[in-house]
Amino acid sequence: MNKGKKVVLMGIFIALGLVLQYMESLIPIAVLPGGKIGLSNIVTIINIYLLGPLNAIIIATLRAFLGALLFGGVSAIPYSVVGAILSSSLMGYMIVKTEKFSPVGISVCGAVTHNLGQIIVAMATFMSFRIIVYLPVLIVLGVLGGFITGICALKILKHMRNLPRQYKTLT
Amino acid sequence: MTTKYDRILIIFLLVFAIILYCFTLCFAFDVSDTVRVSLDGKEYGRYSLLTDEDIKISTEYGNCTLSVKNGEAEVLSSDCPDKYCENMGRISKGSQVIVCVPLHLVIDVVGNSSVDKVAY
Repeated sequence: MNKGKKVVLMGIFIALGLVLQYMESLIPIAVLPGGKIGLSNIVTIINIYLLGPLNAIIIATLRAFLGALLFGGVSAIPYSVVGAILSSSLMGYMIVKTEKFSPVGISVCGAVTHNLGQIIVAMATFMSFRIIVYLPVLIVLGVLGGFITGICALKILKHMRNLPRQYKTLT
Repeated sequence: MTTKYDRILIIFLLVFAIILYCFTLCFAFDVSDTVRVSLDGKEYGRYSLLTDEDIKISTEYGNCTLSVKNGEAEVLSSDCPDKYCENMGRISKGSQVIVCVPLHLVIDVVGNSSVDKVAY
């Protein structure tokens, strides 16, 4: 894949992630700040298999930054970006270095890590340890959301078997 | 579809969440009759949960109203764009927190022991 084609493809994935983020913000599951299904993780996982972890991390981070700017506020930027960097890095590492998880497990890890990153930013911003009381709920929401998005990613990757890919899925 | 390691991972995370939740319940053992408001990590004020009142909190990021009624505190109204804080419900125990991110506010419940000034 030549460089120009890759840039365009990455741009399309960023846009796709933004659209998914906007769509899921319309669903009122506002239990807690940050409690969402995380549909854009589907794009990130597919990106890791398709384009490799580094490109996937870049796409996820830019998407998080633009998404926070567009749909949140300036104050939402650090939460999104830190969450995206941590979760995409961990997911990239899991796919490249361990061959033991299917996209479902990867996605659960990504979702939980994303929420964990947001809690860490919140605790640092407010200098408050009490915020950790949100973590149990966010872990459960992350497992649920990650499971759903993982199944989606799994099904989509099955249909992409014949495309040139960097990594194979397990199943 | 899912591998054995996926399932182990999910179970481990759920168990961890339960253990963490039990740990946060320890915060609730203090005598909790004071609601504390923190702005930007620094204490803004403490208010008694025993007297019903509406407290206006004004910050450089916006204003909100904290309502104390029947021993519980909740955010009645807020200037913030997403209004998560208004939907967070009522808090009365040490293991509960209300956060308003745009207003940089953390509202939690503390005990009486380390207070030198309490606003009534």
